[in-house]
Amino acid sequence: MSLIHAEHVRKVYDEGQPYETVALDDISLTIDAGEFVAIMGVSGSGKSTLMHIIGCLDVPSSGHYYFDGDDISTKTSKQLVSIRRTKIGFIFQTFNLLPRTSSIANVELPLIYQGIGKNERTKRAVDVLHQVGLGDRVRYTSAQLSGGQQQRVAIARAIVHKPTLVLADEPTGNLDSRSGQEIMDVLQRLNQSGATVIVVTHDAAVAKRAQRTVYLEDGKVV
Amino acid sequence: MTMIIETIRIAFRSIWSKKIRSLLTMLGIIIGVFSIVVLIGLGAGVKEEVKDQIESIGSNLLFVLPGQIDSGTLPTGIVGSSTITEEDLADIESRERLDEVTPIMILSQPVRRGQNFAPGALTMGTTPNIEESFLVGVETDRKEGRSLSQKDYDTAARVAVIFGAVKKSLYGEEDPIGQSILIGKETFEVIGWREARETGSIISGPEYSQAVLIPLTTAQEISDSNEIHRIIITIGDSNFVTSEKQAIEEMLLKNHDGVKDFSVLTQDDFLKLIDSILGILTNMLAGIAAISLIVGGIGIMNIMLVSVTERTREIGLRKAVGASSGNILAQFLIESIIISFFGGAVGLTLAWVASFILNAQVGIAPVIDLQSITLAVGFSVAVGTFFGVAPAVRAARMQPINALRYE
Repeated sequence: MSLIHAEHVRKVYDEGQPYETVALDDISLTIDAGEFVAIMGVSGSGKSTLMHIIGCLDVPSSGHYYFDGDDISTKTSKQLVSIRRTKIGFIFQTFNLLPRTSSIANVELPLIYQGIGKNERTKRAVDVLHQVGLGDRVRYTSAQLSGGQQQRVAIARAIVHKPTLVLADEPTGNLDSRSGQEIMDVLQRLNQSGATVIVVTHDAAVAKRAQRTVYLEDGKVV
Repeated sequence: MTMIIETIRIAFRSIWSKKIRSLLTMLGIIIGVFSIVVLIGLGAGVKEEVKDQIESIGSNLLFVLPGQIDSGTLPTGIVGSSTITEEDLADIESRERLDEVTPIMILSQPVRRGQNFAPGALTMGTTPNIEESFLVGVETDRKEGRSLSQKDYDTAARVAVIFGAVKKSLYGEEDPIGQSILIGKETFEVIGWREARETGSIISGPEYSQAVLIPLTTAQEISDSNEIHRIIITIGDSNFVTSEKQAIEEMLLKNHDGVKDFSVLTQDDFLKLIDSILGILTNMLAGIAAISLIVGGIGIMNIMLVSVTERTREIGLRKAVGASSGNILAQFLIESIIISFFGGAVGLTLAWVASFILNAQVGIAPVIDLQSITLAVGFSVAVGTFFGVAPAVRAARMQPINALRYE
């Protein structure tokens, strides 16, 4: 069964206003569990909007989007929260780590909102930090880490709750090419161990690491 | 449960990460709670003090004063010309159950010795029995010389008995007996002096340590008037205080053609009067202090709004990884409650310290009891909650995608 299934998804901002923008126009797309997919397009092509909808951060204006069998278009924001909390991990271009906060505390954040106890959280956070190669830096705050290391902390945070889907928005955009390569290696390993990974990028070299690439142009799949 | 503890932990961490700012935010609450607790406590402390003093004079006294004074209203007729007449005095003196009747005429004339003035001196023209009647209750540490005599009274002698503070400002350590002082333009011989413990207050009547006693007849002569400002009545059997009060009231009412321009007060009435005056004062002051608490609350709201804006991305991230709007609301609300709670606790501690200092320096101990503690802490938490809602709601309403994009 497909993990992600979009049917004629349309997203319009400021609908009905003279300055309305059509961000996504009739997108239909299916991604199966376990795939490693890149979504490519220039800036303004609607790839971020698509990522928000795939990641259940936003709902389509029209059309249907099914995530793991659930019709997202009909969900309340409370239900969306609970889907994100358990099934989705996010990686952002700007890392979005909490300032003045240790790696462990950053990584355990999703577990806090699942109501998992302190000891269990710490243990799992340390485990995933080891997985991304930061086992020796669990107490470091983001200011004490390099960009690549910060993004690895962010990856650890995205996978600590064992999500079905890992969504990365330009994960290498703020990194030098070597760190970018390393991040892609981590994502690839993650995919090999069973996670569905979607990377949104405008960088062809990054997209090449995926099994398949979806191209977006002016809000349409081309 | 885990969630609540986590939320509190998150709130603490964010308060701790901005120590100076949090402390400054707390300051408003600290000052507010401090002043409320101290002022209410001071009101209660003064009440106790005054109550003790009035009670020490004895419970078998009646006071006749000009003007209408009810417990619950402020006394208006205490100063100015008196409505009590010599006829009233004579009528009261004719009653049988009364032990002593002491009229007092207050002379507002400066008391001095050469160029030395006794600034607070209160000259009272009175009858010789004053020291045996109600002044009996005033604790006298030292008593030198003689008292006013019947002969002094009958001859309108220019003699005076002075009390501690007056003696001190006019004579220092010197022995005043036999020396002369000036009251207005008249020369008086000091026949005795008393060291009285500091008593009384502006409200409860004369400060005895400032008293200068002279014969009533003399006072009438030099002031050329027959005004009586107070009549103090001692009743041997305190069971009759209420009935005598009523009888005297009726009698005086007749003398005054039915106009109640005088008051007959018992000890209890005095206590109630003072209670109500101090109550009004205390509430007024506490009300003013409460304004500072509200200003403190606005300070919290202001800082929290800034903090919400500053942490927009953090809020977006938390929402993206699974924080519900409720989680975010709780996080910010708890943060402002913690700030105001600790502000309240610090304010209370400072008030407690201040109560010791005040007790040592002024001799009045503000009463800090469970009630004022509950009030202070409850009030500050309420302020934190009330003013924390708006910022917390703003944080909770943020859309995760907008918040994540925020620069």
